[in-house]
Amino acid sequence: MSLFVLAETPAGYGLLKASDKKMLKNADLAAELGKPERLIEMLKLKKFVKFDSAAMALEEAAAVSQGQIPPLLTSLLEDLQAEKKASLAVADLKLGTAISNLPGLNVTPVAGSDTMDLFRAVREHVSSLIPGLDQDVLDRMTLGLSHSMSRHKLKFSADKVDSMIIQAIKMLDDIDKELNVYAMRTKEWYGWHFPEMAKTLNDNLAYARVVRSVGMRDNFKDADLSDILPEDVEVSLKASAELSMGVEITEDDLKNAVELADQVIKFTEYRAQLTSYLESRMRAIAPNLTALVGYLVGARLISHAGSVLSLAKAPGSTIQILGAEKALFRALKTKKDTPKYGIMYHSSLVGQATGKNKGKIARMLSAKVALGLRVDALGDDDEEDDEQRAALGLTNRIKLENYLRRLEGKAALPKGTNVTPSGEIVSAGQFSLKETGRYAVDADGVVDHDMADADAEPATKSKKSKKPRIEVVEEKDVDMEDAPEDSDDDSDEASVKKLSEKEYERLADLSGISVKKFKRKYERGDIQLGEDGNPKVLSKKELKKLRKTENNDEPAEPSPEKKKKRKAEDGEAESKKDKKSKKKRESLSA
Amino acid sequence: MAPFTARGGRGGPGGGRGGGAPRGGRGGFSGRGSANGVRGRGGGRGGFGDRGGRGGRGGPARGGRGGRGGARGGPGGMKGGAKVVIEPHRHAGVFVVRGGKEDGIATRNLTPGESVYGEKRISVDEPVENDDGTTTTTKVEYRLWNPFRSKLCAAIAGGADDIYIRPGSRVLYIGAASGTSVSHVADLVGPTGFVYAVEFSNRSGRDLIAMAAKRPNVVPIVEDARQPVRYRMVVPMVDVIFADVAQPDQARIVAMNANWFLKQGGGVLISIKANCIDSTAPAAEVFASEVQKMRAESIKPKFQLTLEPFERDHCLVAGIYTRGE
Amino acid sequence: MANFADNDIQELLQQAEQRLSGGRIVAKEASTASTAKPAGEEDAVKAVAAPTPELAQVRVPQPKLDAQRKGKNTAGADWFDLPKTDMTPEFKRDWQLLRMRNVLDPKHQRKNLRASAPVYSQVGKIIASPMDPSSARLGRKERKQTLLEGVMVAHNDNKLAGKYSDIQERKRSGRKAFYKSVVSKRRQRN
Repeated sequence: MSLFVLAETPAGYGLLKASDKKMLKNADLAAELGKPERLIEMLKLKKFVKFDSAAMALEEAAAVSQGQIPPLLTSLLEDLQAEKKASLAVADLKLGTAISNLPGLNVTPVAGSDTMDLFRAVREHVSSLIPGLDQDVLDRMTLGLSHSMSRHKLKFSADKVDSMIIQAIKMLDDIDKELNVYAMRTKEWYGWHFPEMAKTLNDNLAYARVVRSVGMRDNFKDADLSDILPEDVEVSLKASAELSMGVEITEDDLKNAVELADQVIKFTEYRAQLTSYLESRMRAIAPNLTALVGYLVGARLISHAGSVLSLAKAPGSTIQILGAEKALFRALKTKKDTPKYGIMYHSSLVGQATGKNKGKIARMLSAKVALGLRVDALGDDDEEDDEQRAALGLTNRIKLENYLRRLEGKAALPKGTNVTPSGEIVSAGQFSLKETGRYAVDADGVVDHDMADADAEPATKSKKSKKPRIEVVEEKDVDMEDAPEDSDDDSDEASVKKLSEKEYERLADLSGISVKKFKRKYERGDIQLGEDGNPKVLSKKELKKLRKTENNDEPAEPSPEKKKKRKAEDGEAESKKDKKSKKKRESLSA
Repeated sequence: MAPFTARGGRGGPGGGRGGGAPRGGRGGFSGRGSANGVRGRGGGRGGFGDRGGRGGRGGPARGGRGGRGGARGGPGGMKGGAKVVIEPHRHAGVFVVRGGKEDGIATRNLTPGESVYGEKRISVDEPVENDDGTTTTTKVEYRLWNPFRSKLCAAIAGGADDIYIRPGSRVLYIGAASGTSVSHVADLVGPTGFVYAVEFSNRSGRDLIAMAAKRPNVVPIVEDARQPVRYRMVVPMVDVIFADVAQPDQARIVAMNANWFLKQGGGVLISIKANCIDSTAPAAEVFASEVQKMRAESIKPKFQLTLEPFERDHCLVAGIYTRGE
Repeated sequence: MANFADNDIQELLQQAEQRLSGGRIVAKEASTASTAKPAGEEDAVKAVAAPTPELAQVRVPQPKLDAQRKGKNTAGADWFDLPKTDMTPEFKRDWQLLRMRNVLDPKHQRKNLRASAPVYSQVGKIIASPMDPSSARLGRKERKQTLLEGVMVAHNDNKLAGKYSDIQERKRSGRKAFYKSVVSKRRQRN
């Protein structure tokens, strides 16, 4: 039973034999190892094998650092085969277990905290323990080895595919911004010549294409825009071209504007191509993630985490708030509620949910995303097709979809409904579903910043461009908020339709109050005309009651407040204006 | 626990902020606004027609690494062509550069003729006496070290008691990033010393390797500092560990690396960013708890220094590794 | 530099000595190793071959031995042998200026420098890089040989003098203090 020590140096492996086999049990080992002369007595070099070349050193070092046994080390360990019941101190626990699994070797590896002092001493005095291995030689070897190791690491970095996704999604964001700027500029520029066109034609791409194909406003008459625009738009465009109040421009001016329009078209084409590239990449690299949240949100998540692997290491709760770090830390500091979602907000599932369900579904979705990601990043895919690789994500997607429906009180999806790998929902035996049930690809996109703020959710960090889908929803909300009020107003106005003096007299008589009073009350709307034509005067008490119930009906509606605010702001603005004008007047009078 | 004091930032050679860069400094948020000029013009006149009210979007765009970077050109008074006086700093291997307007800190360039990250260099003609009595001049170069970009320089400028790093030292630099600070440390330890620079990120590792290729005393290691086992073959026992990793488990990372590689009695320098450890607790508490953690890992704290004028809520804790005592 | 072999130099020295001593001292035979021995066949060959390596060639600059440089001449290895300060009058003036920077620019407070000039120091020049913005470079005319001159460009005398005389003029012209001083002078005279 003897004790050996494996010293790994950048120049080669050294096998040292301890003079004292129970050295590691020694209590004051550390103190003794501190003295170099004592160390040389305690450890004797048995064998040293050096790396023949830099390539070999790299290979060996890479394997050893991963806890595997490279060929040269195997050959060195064969020397120990003659030993019976030897123990070998190794620096790495993992390497130790690998050695113990080596066949035909009767060696028990020792590794862990008790050998740490030993190895510290060996590392410090390696040049005196291994004769012929000078410090400067060692340093040179170290330098060469470290350079080749790190270069090797960079070259074969595992997350190089992820970086393609990250670059693509960032490019997509950039391009959206640029495209927006260019398109606006085109509209502005050409708008001098034909300002009415921007009103009739909202779409940037169509606008640019019309500018390119038509050119001067006068050409609209004979232009054929059937492959660019729908017929009715074309007709109205031609009509407004006749009556346009735009200025005349020269051919030179037009040429530049058209070139800009060309850029817009090219950019748009590139964007489409980039999108399809990103989608295919995402489906290949993270199929489950894509199935759950769509490729855009998936790519954003990956880009935020840095790589698929590091994202897969994150728990669901982290994924849920990824992208809302600022809000999270603010909430933690102020001990408020933490945000419910970050980037996840833009996934279609969360987008579909309403109110409180948004948070719930975000939580569940991110839990499933975490699971799916682990499969994506760490699972072994053995050449299955897309559908199979994304199986987990697809089933979970259906589950979540149904869960959301239950929360919202809707019927579950019919049995046999499927989700395509890209996230689209397909009902059984049908190729596409009704518009409402469809996976809103656009909702994966992006919200405008102001909108996210208006949501009063401390959630979204959105640096993204505006997508029409969400905007529409938002506008709808506003409409809905406004709508009831409008209708109220309408009914009021309707009921306050003018009555003739005769009628007033008659009704006042009927209700038993003076004509004047009746008139006033009537105009205020405190008097309701029954169906039989009899007036009903509401007393003050009744009115109060009515108002109360009304308030209860719409307590959560933010719109009145907002309106008030807006009004207040308007009022301020007005007052400011007033002040200004007053000042002006004063100055004038002075 | 005798000589452990927490000290304020100011003072020390270099005059704290006095010599600081009026421009650059905290990079990223200069008056430029968005990089693109066209965006972010708010709703001023001549916006985009009817949509003029928008704009200014992308408000909290994250500018790179926040506070760092962007301090090109060095201090304002140190203009190209100006004369300066170079004298030794209190810390070995470091030099003070005194110019007409302000002072700076510099290291002697190991590879004359090259800037690593666009920093200012100072050239000195040094007369060398030959054996036959004649003299020739050789060129010596110094590189200005910006305390706004390097925590170590900030600590030196802030009056650190001891940086442990000196010519001939072997330094394990954890969190080397692109190697800008590392290049100065490599200058500092000189041709007889070594810097073992550990950086996990591939992106920064690329720059680090490029920098190390020109300096024979920098050993680049692109590995996770949490796994010292991985790079045990290329790191010998070192004199000093400098850590700038901004991770919640920073103390543990340093302790692990010290356990593997730091000599008994070697120096430990840790730059702590309070926000990275615990964003909810006040900075002072965070620092105190980190110091406590270091104590538990047999690192005897010597002094603590806030990097205040240069970095917000940062501090540098220095200690001595007292293993098994 | 002309090429002299050692022999030639020796010979020339001897001739010079002879001339000085008025021909009293005769060249010592074989007093130096390389002076000509009676020419034998072998020696002649040597004489032709030998001088070539002994030629005083173009100097290769070599740093002086560390032993020589150490002592008190440099700041030591810790500061990479920073040499002793070259105490020229210009440097002394520069140092004085550095000490008084606070006066020139009172807005920026700096720590006071010690009175004595540093023992070890060098004077260097910031390398202007073409990559720098023009604000970080000095123009050709702005470059000066010493720190003092460089700083004084910004605070030039004419400007200061102009300012001073301006103030004086304003103070003096017909104000009360001026008038009073005139009156008092007149009274003193009377």
